[in-house]
Amino acid sequence: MVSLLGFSYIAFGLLALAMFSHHREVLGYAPSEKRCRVLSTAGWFGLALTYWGCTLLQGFAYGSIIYFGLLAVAGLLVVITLSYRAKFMPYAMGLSAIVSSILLLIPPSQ
Amino acid sequence: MKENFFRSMTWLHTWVGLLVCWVLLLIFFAGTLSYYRHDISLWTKPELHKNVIQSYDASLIEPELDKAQQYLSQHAEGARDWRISFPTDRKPYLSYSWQTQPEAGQRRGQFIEHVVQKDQEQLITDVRQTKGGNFFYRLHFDLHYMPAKIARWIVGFCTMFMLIALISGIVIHKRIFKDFFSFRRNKGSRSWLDAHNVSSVLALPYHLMITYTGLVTLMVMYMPWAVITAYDGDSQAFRKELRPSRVQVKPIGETADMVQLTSLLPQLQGILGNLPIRQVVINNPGDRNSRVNVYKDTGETVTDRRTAIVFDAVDGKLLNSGVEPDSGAQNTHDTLIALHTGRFSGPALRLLFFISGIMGCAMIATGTLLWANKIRQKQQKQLKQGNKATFGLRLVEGLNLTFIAGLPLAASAFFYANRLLPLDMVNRAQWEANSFFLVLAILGVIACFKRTLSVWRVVLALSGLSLIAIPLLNALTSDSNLLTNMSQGQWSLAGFDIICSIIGLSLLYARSKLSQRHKQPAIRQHDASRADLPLGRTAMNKEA
Repeated sequence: MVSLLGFSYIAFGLLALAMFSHHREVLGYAPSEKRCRVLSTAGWFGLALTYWGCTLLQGFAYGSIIYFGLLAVAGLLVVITLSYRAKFMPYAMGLSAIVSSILLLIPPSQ
Repeated sequence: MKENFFRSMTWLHTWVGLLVCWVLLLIFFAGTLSYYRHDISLWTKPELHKNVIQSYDASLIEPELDKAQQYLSQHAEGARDWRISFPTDRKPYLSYSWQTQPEAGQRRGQFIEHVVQKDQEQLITDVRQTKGGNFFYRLHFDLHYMPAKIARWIVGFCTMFMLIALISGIVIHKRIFKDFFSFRRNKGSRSWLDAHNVSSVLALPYHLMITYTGLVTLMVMYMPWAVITAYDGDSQAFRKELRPSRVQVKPIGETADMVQLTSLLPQLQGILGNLPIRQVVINNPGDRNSRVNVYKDTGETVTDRRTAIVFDAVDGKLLNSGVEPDSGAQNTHDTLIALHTGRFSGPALRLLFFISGIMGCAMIATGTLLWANKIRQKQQKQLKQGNKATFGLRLVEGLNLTFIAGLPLAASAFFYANRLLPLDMVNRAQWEANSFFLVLAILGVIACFKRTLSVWRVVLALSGLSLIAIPLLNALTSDSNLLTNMSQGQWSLAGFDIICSIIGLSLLYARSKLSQRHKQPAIRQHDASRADLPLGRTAMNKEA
């Protein structure tokens, strides 16, 4: 569950970076148009992947519901990061990638 | 045309939102707390905090059922029904309860619950009078101090307004997806608008779902005509066809011996397999016309159906194996209701629902604060000349103070009353509820005279501190505390303390934000007496 939250955080982070103003704010320079497109494709891909993960782990009905809940919280976290620690965004995404991947490798206790 | 359309949609969004927003905030707030209804109920009954909480054990069902039948036939003879509730994730204890025969003129009898201790021997019979989590649950759609029917119409009306506000909001905020991640801090009304956007858009699927399904829960009441037409006004016939397993049987007055409940278990196992049993309800125990209804624990399936497996309580014959007609319409309805109530959700999803609910409260609150802010900007000239603010503005600011700052304080007053009121007080449960509304009323009176930022700060500090002190209150007024609850794995009790403290801390943070703004020199450039201005006016930006 936490790893899915981490992945949706990354996906939303990528989508935020695909936006001109946020990219400049976080990385300090304006993105090229191509870069924006790549980032937003990656972001959408990440969102789709998270949905796939949710339904795989929790079943179609329960997974779909939990997916929207996760997105709300992940989005909120991205907003908080951007407005309070914008420069920290890439590191936060990297950190959550590592933690989420490790959590994913640990088999569920049941 | 296009300009006009957006303008009228903006008008609609503003007024539809504003008209009902405070009632809506109350409804949303109570609904959000209701996700933890059973946990709140458990917390408000400290008598049950020790040696009671257990999890379901299939191997114990047989002796437990036997004991329950013995106990109930000794203590609850002639009751209207008996209920044996097995531990579930949300109500983690075993209890025997019954409803006495209703007195003349009453629809329902008195509800009595005795809780079994973990060792299966002792019973806890003396639990304090409290509404617990049911107070918030009822408040969510029955409000208080008024007939349920009127309240439900009011709630339905507000819900419809909310749906309109949501949809018109999506239309007018064209930029919501462009501003998806934008929250510009310390920028006056811009910040409020950003906060409004963020809290609405991020949880938009949730907001739409909860509002729409909220209407669906009472749709037959709001729009009864289809049922009236199809069943010639006989709503009982409608219900009977809808849920054949839940038909109430009337006693015929002849006594008859009840079957041994344990003798039904083999048949039950054949139907349920290994699914846990949640509750066994016996209607008209001791009567010739008596039924045993067995409800299964549906766990995390997205359903809200309470389908009973029904036996004749005298000869033990299976009458209904709990299979309901599988119709598309009914399944859709069931799914929508389940989504609204969220009874199926496990701890993680429940927390996500709770957070989304809080975001809904934030959406409503920021919306009205934004409105008050804008109107005050408009009236700035008159205000500077020393004129009074218009009645509308004063009203809105007063209601904002009462409800936005007041609800957390009122809820914490409820919890304190639960622990501090004398146990033998007459109408104790009602006085807990009264203390909730008293706090709101007192704030309302204060808001008539003073709505300044300093009042906001005091109220936020009070509610923050009192919520942070909830674990302390719990430790002082019950046999267990946060640490023992955690070490014994009583997570719903520990969780209650933790969530209260977190919310208390964030309220204190909000308070500190309010005072910080004064220290920033940029803000003081306009007016030296900012401290006397209401919330939302502290950090005016250049837009003004």
